[in-house]
Amino acid sequence: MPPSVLIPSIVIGFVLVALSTWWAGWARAATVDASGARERFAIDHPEASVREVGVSADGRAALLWLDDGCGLVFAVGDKLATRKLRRPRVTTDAAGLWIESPDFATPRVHLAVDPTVWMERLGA
Amino acid sequence: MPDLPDIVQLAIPVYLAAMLAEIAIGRLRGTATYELRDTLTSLLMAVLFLAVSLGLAFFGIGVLRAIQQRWGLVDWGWSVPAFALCFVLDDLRKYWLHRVQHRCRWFWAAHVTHHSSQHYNFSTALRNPPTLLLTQIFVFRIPLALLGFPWEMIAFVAGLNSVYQFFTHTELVGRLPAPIELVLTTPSHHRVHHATNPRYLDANYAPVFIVWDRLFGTFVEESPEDPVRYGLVKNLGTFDPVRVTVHEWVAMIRDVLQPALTPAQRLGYLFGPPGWSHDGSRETTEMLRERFRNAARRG
Repeated sequence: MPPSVLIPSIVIGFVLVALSTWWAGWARAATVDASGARERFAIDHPEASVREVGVSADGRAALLWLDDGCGLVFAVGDKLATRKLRRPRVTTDAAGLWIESPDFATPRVHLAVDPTVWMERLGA
Repeated sequence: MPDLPDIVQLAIPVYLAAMLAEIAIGRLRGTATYELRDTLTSLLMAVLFLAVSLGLAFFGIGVLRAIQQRWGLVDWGWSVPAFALCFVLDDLRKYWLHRVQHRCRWFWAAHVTHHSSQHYNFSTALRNPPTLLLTQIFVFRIPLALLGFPWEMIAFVAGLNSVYQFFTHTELVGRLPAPIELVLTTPSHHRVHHATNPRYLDANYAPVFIVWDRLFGTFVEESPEDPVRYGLVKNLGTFDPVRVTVHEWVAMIRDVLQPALTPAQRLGYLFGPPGWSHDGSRETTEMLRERFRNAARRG
């Protein structure tokens, strides 16, 4: 197949796949509540003992207080991922907290919460 | 020499039709089989992989041709049995390459991209790592050239193998009849391979003939009691294609450059199994399975 046919075919095909996915409504972020966050965290960290869970106002992330530190459950597209937080850098803006970690695969996660109250809860 | 078609190129319209059909069926069933950013990431990876592969293929072809012409043991000709033997041996080669990709971090650093989606659909099959050729995996084809198979035949059967693998990346197909499940790699087998559930880790490597896994002790059956969760043990928190592509390379380089390591420890971070660490602070597959077993015992 000559490149003049192959390349446009691939481009058009990929655009059609992306548009179909969007049209199907599969572009929404996952949301989570406190019990959902506990359950999801337990899948990846069954040994963790969760004392308390705080959920972001938009439901897209939750912070977990563990016996040995903090954990995070957050939306990645329509799925969730988890992290045990080690040396996180926490910054604030008007919309909430940014949790930044040295993990290259998870640069930063936003929590839509009252930054003053939550900074206090984090002891930061 | 027969005029061999480029099977992968010919399959591209079929790939596109299969993805559109999978989306339509998912929509009809009311199950979200795709996610927009995840799909875009996979498709972008496919384009980058294609571009890099085309750019570097000439080098690999040159090496294989030179080896086959100088040292090739047998002149196989172009008969159907020669193609069939080459296909089977290529699949065996891919089984071992794939196993190495999961058990040696240098190779895993590239292959991890293919496993990084939490979805499992035909677009996942196209999520190939643009950095794959950095790991020089074409050297795994050298034994076939040494056996005397011409590079055109090797490329042809490898193309057939890739096309077959594409169709194992779906949740739409359940278990197939037992004789097929016994011999061939099916969607069920490959779902297990993409799973993060501890009992499914590092299993079912075979691209076409699942008999290799049965033979070499890496076969695990899909169980309805333990529904498959896809992705990585530590799932990515981003769709950024650059981070998806290079995150493990970055982590590996950071590990290797830690101060106060012995040369053996630095090599361990490069070529040891994923999760290996010099101080035992991280988990390999075996350690992870042990942790989950212990947690299950504690209930």
